[in-house]
Amino acid sequence: MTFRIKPAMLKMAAAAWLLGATSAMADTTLEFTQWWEPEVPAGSLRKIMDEFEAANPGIKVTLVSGPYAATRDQISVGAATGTLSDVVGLDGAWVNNLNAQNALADMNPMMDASKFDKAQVADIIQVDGKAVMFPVASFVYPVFVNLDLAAQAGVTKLPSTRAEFLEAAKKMTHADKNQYGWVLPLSLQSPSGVQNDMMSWVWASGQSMMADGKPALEGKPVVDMLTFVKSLNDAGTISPGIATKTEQEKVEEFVNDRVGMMIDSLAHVNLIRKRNPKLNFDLIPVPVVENYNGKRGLPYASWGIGISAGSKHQEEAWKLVQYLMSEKVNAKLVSLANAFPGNVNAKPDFVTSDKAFGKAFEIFKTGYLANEFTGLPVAEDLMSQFDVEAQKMLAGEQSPEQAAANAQKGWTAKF
Amino acid sequence: MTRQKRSRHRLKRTVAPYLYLSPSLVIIGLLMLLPMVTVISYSFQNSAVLRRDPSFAGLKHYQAIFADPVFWASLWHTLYFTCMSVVFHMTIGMIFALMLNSDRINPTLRNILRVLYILPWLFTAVIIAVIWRLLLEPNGVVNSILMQLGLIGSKIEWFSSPETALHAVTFANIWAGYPLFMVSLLAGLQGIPKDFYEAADIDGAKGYQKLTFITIPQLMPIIISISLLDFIWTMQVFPLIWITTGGGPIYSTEVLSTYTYKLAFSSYNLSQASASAVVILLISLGLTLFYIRYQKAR
Amino acid sequence: MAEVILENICKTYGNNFRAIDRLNLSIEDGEFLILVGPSGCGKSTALRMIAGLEDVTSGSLRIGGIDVVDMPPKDRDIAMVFQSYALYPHMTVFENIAFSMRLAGKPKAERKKRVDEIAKILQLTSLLDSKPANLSGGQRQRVAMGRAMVREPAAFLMDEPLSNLDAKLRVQMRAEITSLQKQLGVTTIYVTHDQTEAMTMGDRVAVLKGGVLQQVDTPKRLYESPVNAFVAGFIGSPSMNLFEGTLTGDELTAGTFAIQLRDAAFARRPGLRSYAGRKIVFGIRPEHLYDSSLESGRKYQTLPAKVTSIEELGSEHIVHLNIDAVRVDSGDPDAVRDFGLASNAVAKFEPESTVRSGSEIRLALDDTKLHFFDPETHLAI
Repeated sequence: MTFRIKPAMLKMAAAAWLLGATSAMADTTLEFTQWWEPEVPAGSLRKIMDEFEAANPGIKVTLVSGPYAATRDQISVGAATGTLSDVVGLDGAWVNNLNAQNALADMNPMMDASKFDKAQVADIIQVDGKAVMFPVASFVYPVFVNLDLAAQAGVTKLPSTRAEFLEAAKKMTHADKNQYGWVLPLSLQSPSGVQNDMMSWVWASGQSMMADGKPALEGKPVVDMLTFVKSLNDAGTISPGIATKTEQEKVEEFVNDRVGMMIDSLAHVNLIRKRNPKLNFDLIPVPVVENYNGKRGLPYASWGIGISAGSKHQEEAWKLVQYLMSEKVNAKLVSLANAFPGNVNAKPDFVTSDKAFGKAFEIFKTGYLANEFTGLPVAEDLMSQFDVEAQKMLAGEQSPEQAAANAQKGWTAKF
Repeated sequence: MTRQKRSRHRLKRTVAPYLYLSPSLVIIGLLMLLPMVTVISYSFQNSAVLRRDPSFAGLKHYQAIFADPVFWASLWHTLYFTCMSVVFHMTIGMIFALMLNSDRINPTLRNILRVLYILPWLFTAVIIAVIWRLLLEPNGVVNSILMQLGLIGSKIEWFSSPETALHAVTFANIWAGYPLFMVSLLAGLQGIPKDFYEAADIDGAKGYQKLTFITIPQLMPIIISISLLDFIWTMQVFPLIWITTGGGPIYSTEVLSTYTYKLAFSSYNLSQASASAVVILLISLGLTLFYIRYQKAR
Repeated sequence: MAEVILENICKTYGNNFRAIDRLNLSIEDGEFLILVGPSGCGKSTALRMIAGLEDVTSGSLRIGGIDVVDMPPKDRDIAMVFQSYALYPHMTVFENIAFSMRLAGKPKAERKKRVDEIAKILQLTSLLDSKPANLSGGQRQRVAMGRAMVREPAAFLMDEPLSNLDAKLRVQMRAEITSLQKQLGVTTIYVTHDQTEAMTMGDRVAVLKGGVLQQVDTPKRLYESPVNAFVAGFIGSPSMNLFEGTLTGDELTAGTFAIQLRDAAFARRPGLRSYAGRKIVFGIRPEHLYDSSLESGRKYQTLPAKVTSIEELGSEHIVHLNIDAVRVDSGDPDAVRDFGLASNAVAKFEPESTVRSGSEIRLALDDTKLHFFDPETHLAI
């Protein structure tokens, strides 16, 4: 019986809630769900919203904020029950699911109607020909190098190729002193290490884990990457505890001079400085395969933005999206978050004021954003499967080829 | 008094108990029954939650789970984790309770031990997980002590190697859970009349005979009740395993709870997750019925 | 079967509290000795020391000629019946009785034979498969006895075994235990605070107070010649009435009345004369006070008294009275105090007595039954 009652009840609840949300004032009130507000200085996102409200009389914005994971669950449930906010913060990894639920609006017609300059945005995420997400802010993943450890190990030229990286990692490794060349976090709780610390090697060399929109894990690029990671592991250069290491622990080890190199989000620069002000580190692009001279793909995570397909105020919602993507506002927002802008013309102030960020901005401008998990179905599940196969490989249970083949099998089933 | 009046009075008397019960019945219905029934119904739907018009799937999701070797591995790990935990909780709890109840130990030392022994209980699962992650880190305290003692030759990746991970999480859970037994058994021990032991002394019982003939039979009701409860609770342990290993490395510590969680929140396959949750529910229900029958029998 | 001999037994606890002070007792083979005294007098401690459940601080303790001071309880060849019976609730009656044999590794057939024997004596045969929880108080008591008997010990130790029974059952069990002890002929030490049990059950009674032995003797002699005011007050129910008086010549005066003493009283107590002109404590048991209006009271001298209350028991009347004399405390901490101080004496009258509460009467007193004690030491004169 409850089986029948449940949807009806939810609909009623949703209706009552929408009623409360929309009819209170003559003004249009937009709801904006995201996980960004807790990650920027208190009140700063609200301030941007206030400025938007001032520039667009008649539109009010309500911020619905929470931590990343809670927001993720809230949005996936909201999509199912039709209670998704008008404007939603998005992670590329969710887009495919949400699109499958028909929860996201196609922004193409809106762009056309408002003569939006598509050239000004860094990327437009398309699924099934629909423009569903813009990256508002991007956090790129360069390699962080502990310069003191590098100097002690006699690494004078920072690595630019995988072979050089392996050499440098070997030199920096002193297992007896708990010091290792590299750190690889493959914990299964949050398998993003697959994206940030493994696939980033593939993308950096301009390669792909996909072919014709289908997984191609058995192709040379991924197998080579796995072989490379295995060689790092066989040489004992990876800090132990790989299978349960989390991203936080990775950063912690780097901060405490226990690893020489790590791939990490630029967003952590300030955190690392705060934890260990004496740490002398530099940023380099992720090294590439031998003889590669093309543009480097930069793995990144992003704050994406999209509009709910069920929103009654898509026109107003589009105004908010446009506003956040505009040159000046975008620059202001990414400056708060220490991220790179979604608007290519925006120039955040920290890149001129901070050397490390300036360097990273150079890397950013000479490369291109690459994250093939964006838009894939059940992206986290895919990472998780790949993670398990990689763990088996590192445990010596299978070769890189077998790992790739097994992961390919798993992934194909999901597509 | 008219007949009508009397029958109305009788009706009132029949209805009254239910009126008193109704608030709790409503709350139980809303907070326990409704979610349970909802999850059961999800397990028979295609794309539960994610689609607004889910279609009936029959037993498809159950078949999918039963065909998944990872599910069976999880079930086995759950049983190992649970049985070992309960057995050791009981053994350690018993030993510590006997120590704390013994007159032979100096009262001051006993009070200090009492505080020490109860410590694991003061921590939440998350803190316990973090403590053991730090202690059992390859470069952590445990490895360094074991190496100093010459018991191990190289650093062991307790949580990160498939051979040791399940034992390591089980160990952490044993550490986290014995105080429940200890406290319950201690209360039980203090309730055993001293006369029993004195009578046994006179009758010529040795220490172990007092344990087997008096202490254990006297504590049996507590041992059985707490074991069953512990079994039910341990079967559903999630945060400890999730934070220490996340079910890995590979699938070596995947238990039913982490398996279900991953289906739900990593694969977004809420239908299969519901089916898996129903399986856990059925196992727990079986144990609970056993527990209730035991309680009634007493 | 054996004699039990205690010599200068002391028990001192950690806080320097001396529970037993130089206790000397020798219990003959087959004797039934009662240890009695008010609560806290050390009687249970003494028993537990004999059992080996408490350490002996100093002194020697021999059972059957063997010094057992450093022996664990199981080697002392004794059996004990606890106040709570200490029956194991998870075992059947059979298992409870057979427990010591099982510990001793006796074969099953032997156990069965012996338990059956004992069950027959104690009329427990039909209950052997029951658990203690399903037994009545008297049955449990018998099981506890059975458990002690099964070992054929040198001595039985019983710690207030009847105190958990109701009054009627207690009377019955009293007789049963006594006859059982006679039948078995095992040396028995029996602790109680109930002076009725003390008077009716034992061959001899040892009265303890504050860890010190006051008197050991047969019940009759305890009753007739208590060595001090405490024993006098403790033995007998209701207690002996004790008052302060002054001895002047042949006259004992107290308050406004005087009692004439006869020569016989002085002849039996050579020391009594020396108290002439001095304070003295005198005692008279309630059964030696009479209603002067009845035939039985006619022949005695009388003194004025006021009736404060009457308990009519059918066979006799317990009459609470107030006489013009200062009451003396025997030193029994368990004695019932009349906080109203309305009465200071108790008498047992025949049921024919017609005295009423509140009336002034003449109280008859059998002066040959008077007891005299030193006012300082409370020792009998």
